[in-house]
Amino acid sequence: MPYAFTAALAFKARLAYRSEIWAGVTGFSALSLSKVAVWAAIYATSSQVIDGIPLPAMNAYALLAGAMLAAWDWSDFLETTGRVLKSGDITSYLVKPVNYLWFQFANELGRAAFGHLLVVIPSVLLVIAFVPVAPPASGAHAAAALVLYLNAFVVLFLLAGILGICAFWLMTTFSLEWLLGALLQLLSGAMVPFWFFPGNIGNFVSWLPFAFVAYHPMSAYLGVTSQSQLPLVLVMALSWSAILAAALIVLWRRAVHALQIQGG
Amino acid sequence: MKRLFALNVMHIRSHLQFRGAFLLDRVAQLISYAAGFIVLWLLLQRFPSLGGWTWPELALLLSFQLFVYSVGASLSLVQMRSLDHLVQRGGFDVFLLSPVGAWSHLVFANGGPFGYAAHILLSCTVGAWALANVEVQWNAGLLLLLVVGLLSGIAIYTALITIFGALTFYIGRSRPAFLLFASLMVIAQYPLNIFPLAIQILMLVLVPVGFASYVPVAFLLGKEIVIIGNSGAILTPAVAIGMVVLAATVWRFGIRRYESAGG
Repeated sequence: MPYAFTAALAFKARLAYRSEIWAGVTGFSALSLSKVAVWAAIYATSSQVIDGIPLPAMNAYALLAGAMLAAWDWSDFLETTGRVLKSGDITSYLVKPVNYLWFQFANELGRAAFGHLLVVIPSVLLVIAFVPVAPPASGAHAAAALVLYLNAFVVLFLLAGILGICAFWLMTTFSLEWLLGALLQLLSGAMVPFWFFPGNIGNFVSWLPFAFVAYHPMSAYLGVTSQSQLPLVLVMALSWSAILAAALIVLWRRAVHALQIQGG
Repeated sequence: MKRLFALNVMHIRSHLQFRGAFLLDRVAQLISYAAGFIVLWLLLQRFPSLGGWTWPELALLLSFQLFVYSVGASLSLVQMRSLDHLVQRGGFDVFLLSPVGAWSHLVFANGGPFGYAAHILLSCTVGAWALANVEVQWNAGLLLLLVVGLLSGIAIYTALITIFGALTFYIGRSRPAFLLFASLMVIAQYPLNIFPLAIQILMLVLVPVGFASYVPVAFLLGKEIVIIGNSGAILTPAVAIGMVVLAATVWRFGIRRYESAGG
């Protein structure tokens, strides 16, 4: 119950900054339209269908692959976790009858819900009014894409949390934010889908956890992942979440233990 | 000038107290921007060109844009983004009392190219490679254009970021404007001829970021420049001067509206 309340409160807190809604919608729409234009330019010099993907499907990829990263600013969570551990402010959370990690998960979930409901969904509706966008390949693909998309939030939360806790030992959150940003830019598939990567590079990076943030949800949506492959991808996605969650919990316990020693 | 230099030296010294973290931060920035370059490079390995621009030409546009943005941002970005907090808490008072002027004090005490060393290193390296791999018939006029283009780009970014930051004085927050700025930055990485007319107008007329990198680079490479045509490249320094005058005006009128947080 306190976690549901935390999520609702985080949602309401973001409502207070209404100017960020129009800025977010304008920014995400402009960015999506520019990505659509990039693919239109590429398709104009090639053919109507590249590697089995027609332009409306690529438009869907351009519009939706970066949605999670646009809806939720994971860097705030990474920075907050690093800061409270370094400063010792974490003690104010440790005396409360809540688990810090669950508390932050609920908080960020509320913020992500805000980003989706008031920035991403209006932007998507705006863009599809002007640009042909392919629907999901089938009902099964749509359902799998939705599960993978929800899991993308979990994977991103866990990655940001792990690096936030690492800041306790490295004394910097700045570089970790930039590093995760770089990894996501290159390995999430948010900008360029892996099937366009040369050689076996795409196949290799598609099994890394970053790929489950953007590439796999969109591959399922478009039907690039065949129906028979969907269970394997879903198992991989949930496995990465379990592995990252275990790593986060181990690091968290070590950091809190070290903090208690420092406290004297 | 001596005072401004002293302010900046103090800022650098404070950062060098944590040398390991400072170095790690710069390496992370280098990797981050390099990742952006690599994504486009991978794309151009698969496709021959983007809107008629080959990889070396795109690399020149990317590195030019990163360089002018880095120097411009080093004179404005962190400082102007901190204005929200300073104005809301009344912390801007101290800058109004400065003998070197509020803008100069804010800028030189909190930034400078030192923090952008990674951006500048990467943009110069990639830019030098790109210049060696594009077909340009160099002459004195083009060299002059390159220098004027770089200086204009720096001025445009500094002015634009100052205007966005000064919005704090008018509407209380500048964060929404900087959210939009981030989107403009991404669009500015591509040649404008691939975009629909609305985005071209946005980038060349409404918020003339296109003049900071696309216009000078397209002219240098002999590409057709959208909306303004190739002769329109001569407008670049005029746009830069116009933006600086506008930024100075917005900043001055903004300061008059500042009411501190006390009382």
